[in-house]
Amino acid sequence: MKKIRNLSAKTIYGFLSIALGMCFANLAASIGLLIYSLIYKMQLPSITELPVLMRINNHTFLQDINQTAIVSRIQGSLLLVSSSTGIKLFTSIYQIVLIISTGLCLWIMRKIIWTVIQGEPFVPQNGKRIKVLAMIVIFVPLILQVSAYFVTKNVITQLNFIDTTLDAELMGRSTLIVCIFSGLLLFVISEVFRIGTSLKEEQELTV
Amino acid sequence: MPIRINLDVMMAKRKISLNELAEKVGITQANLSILKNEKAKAIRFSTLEKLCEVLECQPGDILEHKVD
Repeated sequence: MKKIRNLSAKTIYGFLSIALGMCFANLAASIGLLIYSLIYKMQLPSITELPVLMRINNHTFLQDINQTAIVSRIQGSLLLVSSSTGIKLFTSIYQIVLIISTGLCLWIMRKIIWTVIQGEPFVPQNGKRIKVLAMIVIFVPLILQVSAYFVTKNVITQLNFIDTTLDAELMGRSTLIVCIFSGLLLFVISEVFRIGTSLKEEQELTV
Repeated sequence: MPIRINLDVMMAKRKISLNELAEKVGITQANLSILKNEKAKAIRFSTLEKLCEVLECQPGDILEHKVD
């Protein structure tokens, strides 16, 4: 049983290592692309799709024999091909922050799994690692989505569409809520871990 | 820590080695070392009782409260 548990931990460790490697490659590519596009002033398709809510001024009617549907709002995303340095910088930094935070999460999880393989998961460092993981899970998506919302709002005011009004939407609200709750859960786990490790230490040093 | 362990003093008085004391008390040498070197965070009453029995002393002879 112990062998199987160790084997599964080692498999997870292997997968995490591969994912971390892919993260590094992705990060290098993103930074390279950003530098290249800034030096040669080339147009760079924004990597991030900006979330928008499209309001149609003259409502469109979709009609068949039995029913009529009025289309007034469409929610979608905007993929900009922009030569604006600001947009290029924003989308690149968005991507880079996302990759770095993912890489950091993978790195921390790898460290935790390594302690499991070593047979000593109840160490004080693991509590701290889970706390860092919780902070990343809560704050990174929150900051990125809110900043994307403001950039989108700024960009769409400069675009003109006939018969339609574009409005920015805070993307993935349900995802954000899931992230916040997951982060809070991780905070609770890290506290339980901290108390658990101190109890274990006390128990070990009781003669 | 203000609680001092005078186990080495008592061991010297009774002329007993760490190995022998550990064997008689029924704990490992490593645990007795932790206690002797004041690394222990707690001591069980059962361990204290056995120590007192073997060393023929009172708990106060082993444990001492010192204010820094």
